[in-house]
Amino acid sequence: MIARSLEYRRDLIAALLIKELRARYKRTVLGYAWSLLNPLAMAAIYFVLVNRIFAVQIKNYPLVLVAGLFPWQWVANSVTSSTMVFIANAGLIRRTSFPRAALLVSATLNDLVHYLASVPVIIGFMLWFGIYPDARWIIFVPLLIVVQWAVIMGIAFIISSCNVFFRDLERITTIGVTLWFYMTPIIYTRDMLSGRHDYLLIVNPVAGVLLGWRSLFMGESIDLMLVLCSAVWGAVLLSVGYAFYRRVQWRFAELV
Amino acid sequence: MSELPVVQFRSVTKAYASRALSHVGAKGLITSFPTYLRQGRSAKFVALRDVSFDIARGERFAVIGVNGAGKSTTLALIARVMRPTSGTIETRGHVCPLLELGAGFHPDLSGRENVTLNGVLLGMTKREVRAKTASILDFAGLGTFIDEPLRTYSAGMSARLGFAVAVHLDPDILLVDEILAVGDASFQKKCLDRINEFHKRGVTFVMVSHDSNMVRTTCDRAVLLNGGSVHMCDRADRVVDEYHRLLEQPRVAPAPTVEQKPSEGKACLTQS
Ligand SMILES: Nc1ncnc2c1ncn2[C@@H]1O[C@H](COP(=O)(O)OP(=O)(O)OP(=O)(O)O)[C@@H](O)[C@H]1O
Ligand SMILES: [Mg+2]
Repeated sequence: MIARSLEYRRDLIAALLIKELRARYKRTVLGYAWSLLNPLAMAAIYFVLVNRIFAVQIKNYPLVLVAGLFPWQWVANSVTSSTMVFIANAGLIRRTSFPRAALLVSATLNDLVHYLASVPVIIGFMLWFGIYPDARWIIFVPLLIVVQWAVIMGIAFIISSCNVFFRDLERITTIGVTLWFYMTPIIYTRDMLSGRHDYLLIVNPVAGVLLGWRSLFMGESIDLMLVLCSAVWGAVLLSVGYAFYRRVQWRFAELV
Repeated sequence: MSELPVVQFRSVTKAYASRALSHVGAKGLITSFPTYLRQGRSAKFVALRDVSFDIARGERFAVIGVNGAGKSTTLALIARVMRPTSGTIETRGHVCPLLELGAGFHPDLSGRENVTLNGVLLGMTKREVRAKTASILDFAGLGTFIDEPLRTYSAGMSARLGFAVAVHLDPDILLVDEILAVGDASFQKKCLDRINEFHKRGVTFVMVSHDSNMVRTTCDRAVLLNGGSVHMCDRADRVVDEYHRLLEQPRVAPAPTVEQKPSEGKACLTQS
């Protein structure tokens, strides 16, 4: 019974994920390229702005940008799209009784797939700057994925559930994510916080994990304390988010 | 066999919150959010009031009434998509809600891909769907269209595909909300045959339909809802007659009521 229920949940998430992936690519010519174009365009803009116009010299800045923007895209896309997950699937929620959380899981995994599909591009930049993937990847790639996913899911549970009751949250989230982007060392490095603002790295659930990705891609040593900090955030957000979702999800069918 | 009923409604009341939180403004939001979550003191629309009825195992049961009488709400409660505001609902066995054909069908996916997606959304594992795919496609009878994207289908064709998946679900209780009116005559016959086959296997069948003839010929018993209350619950043909008598009266269905007082009852669900 439990085995079937687990198998069912896995199949449900997989079926929803495959639907999203297939549906997204079936009707666009460039397909996969679109998911790369957005972060690459942003990287190009920030490179010109910071490196050429403000003339701030940051070592290997194109790689710094790419190694920060691609993992950030996963956060930004998942959190932004999670606001609408339940509302966009109103028909399903009103008429079937499958576990609604599967919609969130498949949406966040969908963005993970896009992130992973962009890793070859990051590796291309690494090779350009003479940096090679090392043995740490075997441990840290899965670890950072799990930590980042926990943070994203926790936030997504809270935001998506609240948005069913309070639709304005969608707009607030868009603004919030932009603010969050500038509070996270993505277009700047950790050193540029100049020690005085290090608390920002601790109060920001994704700062540790994003800096982890960047260090990994740049062949630098990873700050394990910051990754641990993100992991703690992930555990807290995921438990709080899931508990909240469990409390309110029975009302979705009549409100979406 | 004198068994327990498979569906049991005991004084079920269902109230919908009649105003959304987004209408109360910023100040109201902060003060009323906690109560709102507890389904508290906001004005409520009572869609079902003190509804009680039983459905026995293997019965073909119809829920009828005018638009807005509460039929879909009743099925959604049996399917546990929603919870009642007060009262209890007991169901025994695997409930398969067919509140809509082709739930989750995606227009850009092919018929075949949609069969898997729909089957999983309705509660089958991928393995179970795969084992039944040949039979499902055969029942749908869509020929080479099965590998075309769904957006190229006519309404009847997607309904056929949806129903083909649905009849392969192997439920104990099958809920059907106004979906048999689609499809051509031969397909409708195929569906009715399948329903009779289900009936022989002891599957309980609960349907909502505005087609009086269909209710008369396919159902054993029916409940007539009027303005959210049970008007009559009896043999299907008698209930249909009463429904027509009711329709001829000048005033149909009392105006929906809005309840200002917080409801005392606590939602309570049991399942065995
Ligand atoms: N999610 C909801 N929120 C608020 N009110 C609702 C909601 N769903 C239904 N209602 C109200 O509850 C009443 C009963 O609705 P229901 O859908 O059960 O009617 P029905 O008998 O299925 O009607 P129809 O024959 O048109 O399908 C209606 O008056 C409707 O306005
Ligand atoms: Mg209805």
